[in-house]
Amino acid sequence: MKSIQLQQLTKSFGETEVIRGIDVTIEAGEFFALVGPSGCGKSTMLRMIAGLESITSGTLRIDGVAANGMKPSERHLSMVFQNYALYPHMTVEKNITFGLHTKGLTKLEQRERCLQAAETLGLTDYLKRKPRELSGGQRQRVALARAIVTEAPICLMDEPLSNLDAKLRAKMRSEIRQLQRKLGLTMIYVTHDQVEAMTMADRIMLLNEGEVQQVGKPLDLYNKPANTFVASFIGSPPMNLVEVTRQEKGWMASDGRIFHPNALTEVPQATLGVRPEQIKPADEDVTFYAELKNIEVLGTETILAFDVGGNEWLAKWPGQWPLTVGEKVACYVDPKQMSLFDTNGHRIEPRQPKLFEALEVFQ
Amino acid sequence: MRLRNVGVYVLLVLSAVVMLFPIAYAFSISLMDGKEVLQGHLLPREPSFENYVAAFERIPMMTYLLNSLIVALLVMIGQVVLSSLAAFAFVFIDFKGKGLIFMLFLATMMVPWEATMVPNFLTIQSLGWLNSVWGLSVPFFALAFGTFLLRQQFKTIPYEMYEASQIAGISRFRFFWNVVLPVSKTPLVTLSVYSFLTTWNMYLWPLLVTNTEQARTVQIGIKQMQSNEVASDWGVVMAAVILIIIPTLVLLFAGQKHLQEGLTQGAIK
Repeated sequence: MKSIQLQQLTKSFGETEVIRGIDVTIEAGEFFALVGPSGCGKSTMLRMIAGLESITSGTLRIDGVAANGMKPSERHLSMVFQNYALYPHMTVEKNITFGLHTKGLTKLEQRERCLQAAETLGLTDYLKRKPRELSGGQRQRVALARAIVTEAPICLMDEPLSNLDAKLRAKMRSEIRQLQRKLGLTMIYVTHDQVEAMTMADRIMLLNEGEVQQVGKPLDLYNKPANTFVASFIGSPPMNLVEVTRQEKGWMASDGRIFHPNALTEVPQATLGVRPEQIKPADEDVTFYAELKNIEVLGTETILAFDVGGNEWLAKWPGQWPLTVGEKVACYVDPKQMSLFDTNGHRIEPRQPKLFEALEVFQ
Repeated sequence: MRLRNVGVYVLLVLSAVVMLFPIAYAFSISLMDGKEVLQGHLLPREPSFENYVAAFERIPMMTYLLNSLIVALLVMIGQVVLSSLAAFAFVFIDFKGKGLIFMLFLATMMVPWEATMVPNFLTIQSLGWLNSVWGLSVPFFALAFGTFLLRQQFKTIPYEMYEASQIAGISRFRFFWNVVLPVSKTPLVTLSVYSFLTTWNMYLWPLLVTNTEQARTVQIGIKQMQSNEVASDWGVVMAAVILIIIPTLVLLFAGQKHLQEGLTQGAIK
């Protein structure tokens, strides 16, 4: 198991800076997901770690050793590519073993390792086939087998599941996760799909335009997004946002709705954020009334769409609700679950819960 | 639609007849004796293979054929090896001025070969390669067209395959040998056939750099027959011509499938 350290890593293509000073340590045995919209630099960052892309400035350390100038093969890592990069003219077995000779393994050892990897991934029956005779999921498994057969402690994956259909993707998600745990791999996993990152990763780094937005555990990113970008990227559907201005009674949106978020701040203007599942049908207290624009009944939950301050908001109510478009419903949001961001988009920390509860007792 | 098809086929058959007539007539003459040729018959009255025997007896046909074969094979190997290595460099290796050098490569295709003939001759002469297979083959080893053809093919190989092999620690040459060449079989066969045929049919250069019977290739051999007294014997000349065509036909039939794929490959990209 090996750790990876990035110190002020940058990358420029000519004048354009695509990675702007990234600092992070990826612990040994950790499943680390790099997430972001396309073009955010996540693949470039992965390729810099792999040694396929040069480092413009900063230091990359693998297990404490500076690795900037190392060849890809000297970094003791394996990589799975988005299009699998299988050799089309070789059998599955040759695909898996090709390159093992560089590790000084005899033919017999190579075969043994290949069989082991094939068994782990359920490929034993396909060893004599060519890649084109396999389905997408099987090709994906061959690519994984090729990565684990080297027994490299670090594994890099570049959007490995994006070519699979939704059902298979869910299956492979858990398979990759189990494989990583079983082998104790240090995994860096690039994806644009926040669901993959949320479900698989120990920690997530969210990138946008080459800059780190937030690094942390999936639930930290979900519950305490550092800025509005994180808030709108993580979660499906994402966090509802609306511009609000400070009033005596609370925070007012442009349509006159008033919110009372649990935050102490002096700024006159802010962005308010509420997760769809935190908008609940009101019992007694009503936060606001919503005129429904659209309703999606999904069986286990109902998604309501309505306007707040010119933005479309979505609410996720558990169960099946017999509502009609145009209907007005009363909604309730717990003030403790509202997030507030300043005009630069940065999160405003809420009041300390303890103090808040103490105040409540006082009242 | 059917009418159009009929029209197309009639045209195709007509052009095929026109194209094939010289060869068919040559074959026909090769089976006639001298008198019959002059009488202008299209088909031999009494076909005989005597002319073929004569072709081997009166001129050193075997030596010529062997020379041609050796030279054509040498050029074929040389062109395929050098073109594929150059194409690999142009596709998979990063170096400064890659685009410019490739443009230069392509630019040499615009220079007619005859224009470089004199300097080439002087080089070969000073190397003492006149009348040798080296003089006949080495000047053709570098082929811009071959490099271009293979580069187009290599570019269709996903770059990730190269990167995957780099991560696995596979050397460049091994990647070239075990991955790039096997997946590029079709264009490699196309290039080989093209090289072989062009060299086999080459006339001007062998005429320049050979002047002994031991070193001559078939095409020159035929020409020599005309200047000898044998020339009047058209039956023998045509028999020799047919003999020379045979290897090219064999090669064409053998490589036809690959050749068609290879030459049309660039068209749809």
